[in-house]
Amino acid sequence: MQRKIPAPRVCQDCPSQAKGIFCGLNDPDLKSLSDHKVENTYKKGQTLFVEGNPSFGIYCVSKGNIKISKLGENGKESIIRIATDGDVIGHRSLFTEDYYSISATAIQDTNVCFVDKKYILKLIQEKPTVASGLISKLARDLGASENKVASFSQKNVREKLAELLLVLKQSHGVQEKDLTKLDIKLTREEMASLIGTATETLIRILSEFKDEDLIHQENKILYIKNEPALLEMANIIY
Amino acid sequence: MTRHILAPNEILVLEPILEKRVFKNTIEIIYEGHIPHVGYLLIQGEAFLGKKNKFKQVIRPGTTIGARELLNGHPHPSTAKIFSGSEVYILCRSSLMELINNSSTNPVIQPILNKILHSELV
Repeated sequence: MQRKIPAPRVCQDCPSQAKGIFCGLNDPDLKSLSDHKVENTYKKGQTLFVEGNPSFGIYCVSKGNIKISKLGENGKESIIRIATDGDVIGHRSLFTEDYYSISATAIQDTNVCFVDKKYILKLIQEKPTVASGLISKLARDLGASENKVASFSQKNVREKLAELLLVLKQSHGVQEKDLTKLDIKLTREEMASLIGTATETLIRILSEFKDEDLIHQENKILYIKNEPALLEMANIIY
Repeated sequence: MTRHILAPNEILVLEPILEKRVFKNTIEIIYEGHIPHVGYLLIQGEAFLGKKNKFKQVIRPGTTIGARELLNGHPHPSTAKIFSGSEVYILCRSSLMELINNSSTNPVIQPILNKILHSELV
């Protein structure tokens, strides 16, 4: 039996097009990009690429969440960040080395587009909006890394968890009456890894936050109840 | 099933056009049902093809994986797993288009391209 092939989605119709590095392209250029890209749905746990393996191009998250992680010398995984709708992954390897320095794994069913290295490098040379979009993305990444280093060295676990909840609110927050739902399925292990603490410590502090009425939990979904208090605790301005 | 194997002299023709890469870690390079991001021409090492976590077919050097499905926009019928230390030439869409364009003026490339694009699905 012939397998039914779904019609590929064009970049103009991508729900995250306005957030990505290609948002400055005009319709004919987006059409050309659409003809060149490959779109797939990754199931939870499937890997886009693994640290140490060669890079062939860049990935653009259309819808869903991808865990970006790095293995320590002891084999323990540290989660660097969560890439979501409109995020680009693997762009650093275009300019630095031929091998990925991180791994990328779907944490839920996620639509991801891929554009090969030769095409994207040509696009960067020919289209200044793509080049400036990528530079801007690299600058934001650097800023986020600097903040994370400062946060890791200066903040205690309560402060780091408050900051993580606010970052997740910004990227995945959905307003529901007086509460903000964090619309992302992260395990407690993954949350602990994101702030560099033990899972037991994270669970204890989450429990403290619930007692202090800062957050609310339904099943495994977290809601932010008191954002000003979390902001004050996290000591960040955004 | 027909899976064409490229001879060493044919692989040599592709050397100036394609990028060579080594996989340091074992990984699924194509998932069953996905359109491949790039095609692969295995030069050294080993890869496996399989379905539903059962790997059945060993891929030997000289074999291409995924190029045809990439160009046609078709889902790959099986999962391809490559083992650490394996060396490949990358057949990305840009390189395949370059090969197709070159094949009209370079008669040596045409039969090689035919072998790459007409390996039958597993």
